[in-house]
Amino acid sequence: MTTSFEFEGKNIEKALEKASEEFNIPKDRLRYDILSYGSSGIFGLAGTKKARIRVNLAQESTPFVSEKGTPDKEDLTSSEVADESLTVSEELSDDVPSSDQQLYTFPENPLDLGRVVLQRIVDAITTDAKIAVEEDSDRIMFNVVGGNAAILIGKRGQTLEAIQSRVEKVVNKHNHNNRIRVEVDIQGYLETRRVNLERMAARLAEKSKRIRKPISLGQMSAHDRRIIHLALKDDPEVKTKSRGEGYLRKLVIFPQKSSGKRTYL
Amino acid sequence: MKDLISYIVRALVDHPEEVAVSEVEGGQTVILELRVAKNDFGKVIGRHGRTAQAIRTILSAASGKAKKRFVLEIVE
Repeated sequence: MTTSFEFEGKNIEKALEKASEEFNIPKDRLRYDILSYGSSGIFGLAGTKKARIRVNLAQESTPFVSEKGTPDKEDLTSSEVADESLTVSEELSDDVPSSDQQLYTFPENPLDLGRVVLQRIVDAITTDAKIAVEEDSDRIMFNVVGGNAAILIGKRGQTLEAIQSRVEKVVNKHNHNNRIRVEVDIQGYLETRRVNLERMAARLAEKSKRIRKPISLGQMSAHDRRIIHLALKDDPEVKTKSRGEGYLRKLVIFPQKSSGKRTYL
Repeated sequence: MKDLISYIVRALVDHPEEVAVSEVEGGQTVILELRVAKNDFGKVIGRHGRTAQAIRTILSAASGKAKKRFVLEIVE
């Protein structure tokens, strides 16, 4: 096993000296990770930050990598053989195939698989949440009810998005050719968000027509952009386009018929 | 928390038997070190780190319940 301690100093060297004094180990024999390099700030006055290191104390006989097998053992002991005696769990951990049993705990059916994985994630974040499942021909909709919805959704739906993408990845791990869409909704959040986005789209389209300039909306997920594209599809006076790549991708609303008289105030 | 990460990652990779998560405690934060098989690396990190980012987001949401901060490191 390794134990680790953190040390601070004006710079890495100072932090190391402290550590070597503490444990009576020469500096060059310490195993450490650098947590922060620290900075002397401006003229050593404003904004000084201490350097921080984490020192790992490992017994010589047990190299760090030897922990590899332990997670399997713990998983098994906690979930399946919780009430069996210690000796049994040790036997299991000795032979590697124990992790194969883990493999079989994932159901084959995509719907069940998604449900199990989602439940597991949700349980880690909050308690008492239930999952309702609906299935279409090419997509699965999970609805999480109960628990602390605010935490599950996260800031601007961040956490929700992460959960959804995770579950979708897992469900589609084996079938590459016909992807199943996975939607995760938390107490009607998706619906509320859609309504809000549509309202915002209508408002910005109006504004764009009024000022006769394109308006760009940054920082949106592909899903959010799609909602706005669809919302403004039927408006002949504006056109929408997405520009840029990755995080910088923006949706731009262009006013049409701008060739007429331009009135700049 | 360790279980959660190894569970999510196992569901994702081709070689679940080679997934290992170790915890490094340090005051308020716990660092989770994730090790996977070499050719599963890309799967865990994802395009532009999207998968890794999503796992971290879930982790930070779950941190609230555990009253501790968790940091995920993917170790080679």
